[in-house]
Amino acid sequence: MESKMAMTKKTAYETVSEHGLSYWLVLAVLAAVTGIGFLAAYYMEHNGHYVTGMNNQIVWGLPHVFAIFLIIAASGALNVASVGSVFGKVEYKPLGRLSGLLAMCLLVGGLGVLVLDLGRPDRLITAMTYFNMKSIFTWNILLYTGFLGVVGLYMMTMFIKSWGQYTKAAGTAAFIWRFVLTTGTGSIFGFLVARQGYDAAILAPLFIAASLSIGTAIYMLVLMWIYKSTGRDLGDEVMTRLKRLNAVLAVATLFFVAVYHLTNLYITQHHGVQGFILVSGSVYTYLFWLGQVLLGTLVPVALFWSPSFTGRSSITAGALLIILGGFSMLYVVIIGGQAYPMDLISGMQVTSSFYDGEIARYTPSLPELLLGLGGVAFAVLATLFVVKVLPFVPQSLADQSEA
Amino acid sequence: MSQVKVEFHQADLSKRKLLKAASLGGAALAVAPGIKLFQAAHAKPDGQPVTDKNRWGLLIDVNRCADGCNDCVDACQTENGWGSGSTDEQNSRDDQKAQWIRKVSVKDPQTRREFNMPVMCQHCENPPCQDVCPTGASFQREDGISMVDRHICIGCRYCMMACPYKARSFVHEALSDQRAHQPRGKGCVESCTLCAHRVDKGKIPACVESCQHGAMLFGDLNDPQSPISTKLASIPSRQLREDLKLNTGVRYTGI
Amino acid sequence: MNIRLRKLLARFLLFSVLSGLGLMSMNLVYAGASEVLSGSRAASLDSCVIPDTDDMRRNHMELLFHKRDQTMRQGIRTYGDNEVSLNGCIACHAAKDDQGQYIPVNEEGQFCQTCHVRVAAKLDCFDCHRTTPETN
Ligand code: SF4
Ligand code: SF4
Repeated sequence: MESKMAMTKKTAYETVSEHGLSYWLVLAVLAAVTGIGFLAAYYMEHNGHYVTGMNNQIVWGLPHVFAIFLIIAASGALNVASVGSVFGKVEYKPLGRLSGLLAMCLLVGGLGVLVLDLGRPDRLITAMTYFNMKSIFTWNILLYTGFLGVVGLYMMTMFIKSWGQYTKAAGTAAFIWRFVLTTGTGSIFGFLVARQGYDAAILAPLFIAASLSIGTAIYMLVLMWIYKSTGRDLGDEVMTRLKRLNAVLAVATLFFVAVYHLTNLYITQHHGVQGFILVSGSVYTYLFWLGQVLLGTLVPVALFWSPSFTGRSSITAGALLIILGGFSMLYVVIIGGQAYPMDLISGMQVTSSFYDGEIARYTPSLPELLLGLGGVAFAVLATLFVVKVLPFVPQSLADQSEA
Repeated sequence: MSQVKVEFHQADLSKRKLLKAASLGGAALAVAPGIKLFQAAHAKPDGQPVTDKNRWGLLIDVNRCADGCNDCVDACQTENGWGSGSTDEQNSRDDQKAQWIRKVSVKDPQTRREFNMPVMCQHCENPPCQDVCPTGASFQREDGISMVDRHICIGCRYCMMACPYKARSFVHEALSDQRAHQPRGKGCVESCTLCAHRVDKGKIPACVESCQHGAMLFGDLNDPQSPISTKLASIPSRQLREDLKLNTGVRYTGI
Repeated sequence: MNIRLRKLLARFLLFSVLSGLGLMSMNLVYAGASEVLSGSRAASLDSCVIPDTDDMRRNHMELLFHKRDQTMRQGIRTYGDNEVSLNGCIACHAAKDDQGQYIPVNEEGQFCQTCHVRVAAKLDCFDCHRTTPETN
């Protein structure tokens, strides 16, 4: 413990500069993908949403999956910082700055996608000036903006020496804010009482668990990439801690997923939509069992936990799979939940020109995908760029035994 | 005369100018031709705001709603300029085109009984669309009619997620062939307005007027003497999804 | 201290003069323009529904905002030949082409568009509102 304290105290942060061309190359690619995302948004906006796969039945499509993915990932990425300053785990402290930065960048990326998909993005000012305080959506807008402020302050307490004493307080505020934010995001769906797929309080804790898991995975990937490309030391102790943490979080997510589906199976009214997702053989069934459960949870947990996988590539693979799993989960919840028809009159079969009683069809279109990827690219680009300008990353995270 | 005066009198302009303005065009407004007064006692005086004294509603008799008839839907399209009532939305796929009202065919799988009913915005008293709308664009007039304020709708579609009846449509492309009284446009959400523009002039909604089978009755739910209220008091009727307790303005009988 | 104050004053003065000039030039723009098109009904009338045309030029948007909320939220409607509303504006100001067909008021060179282009104000109304009088 003593030695750890000592190590933390003298953690030296330094801007990232000692890298080769590949770092610039990655930045350039990310910038290009971001640019294409903007172009895609402009294309959708200019023509109208008819150029997308979205329609009057599936009104929230791929952009919303990406946006919500990034938003909850943002909240989760802050986790590493929280563990350090709120729970006083000193060994996490050097990781805090990057964690806060990543959180902010992911959030901005997610909000960007959300806003650019609006029918009238030109009315952003309207969204900022007319508030309906009854709407959970409004609360989310406030929560997101506030998150940026709170995390920003928290970061400043880490950067400005004389503010150091407030780190814990600011960290705690950010920690609480983050939970509220993810609860709020989950509640966007929880409030849709009419849709059988969403009418569940469990969605909020499920979103929190998933956010922690996804956020940690993204954090590990970014951390490993920065250290690899700069040749800085990243010890196995740090990575082992992180991957173990991620495994626990992934299992917790799976637990809430199970609770969500089991409780719904008790509610007779919800049998239909549960059957649709769990056994019907639709694309959502495959995404659920293969994407979310098997590849997105069980495999990475094994990769993170089993002693037979030790290398960095197994961590990379595991983290990527966690991301895939989280994405599948959101796709199943957001799109699958809309695809299953709502009850109009219980017990009756209905048909109409407006697709009543039918499973709604949705084929994501290229511009939607590009817009979503643009958001992701922006988040990573911003992170990788800012660490070049400001000292966010410790010079070394080598194992203590070596240090 | 009085018509023009009320128009602008709260704006930052001197009233005198407006009085002069009124003299220009007032005379033509005195009588509006072709208006059917359906409830003389409750017709809103011109120039007065709607109030919560009225709550407009519909009673739909599914036993009268005829198989294969699409008159109410056609009438709505013509009246409000969507679907066949407009040359727009050529690029949108069928599942992207707006539908303010639709005929739903219902079958009871146990008894094999079949019937039809038109479904449109149910003009909920506690509208979920309004609860979720971030900007307040989804709103309700004093007289219970639910609408979208297109001037502040940002096209987030959250209201569409929230509406239990799929009453709302999103406009997926630019439009140009709107009706003068019914603005519609790309990127905003829209739905049945209960023909507010007609109701304000003392007329009944286009769908109700068009129904040859007497399946739809329009009226004031707040007036116990109105035909719709007396009917509702004497026969069994239902709300769609009554489990959600939205107290809809549109009611169905015969289900 | 004194110098700072003087500097501040000078800056303020400069600002006022400049913005005053700006506003005046706006006025010139407004005053110089008459976009009433021959062939539109407006061309045959002495004045707009508000006799002070300059006032209308400068404040029509306020009037329209006010009217829009009245119509939409309160159901206060006007109708007939001299409808005082956006539809009324269009009915009176739309010009016709050689075939006698109405030209949309937001097309280049037409009543609304010309002025809005000149002052670089986005013409938002016609994303949703009809741009020609309805003929029937
Ligand atoms: S039926 Fe739908 S759109 Fe109409 S008021 Fe109710 S929730 Fe809103
Ligand atoms: S689409 Fe428009 S009306 Fe619907 S919730 Fe969003 S802002 Fe409100």
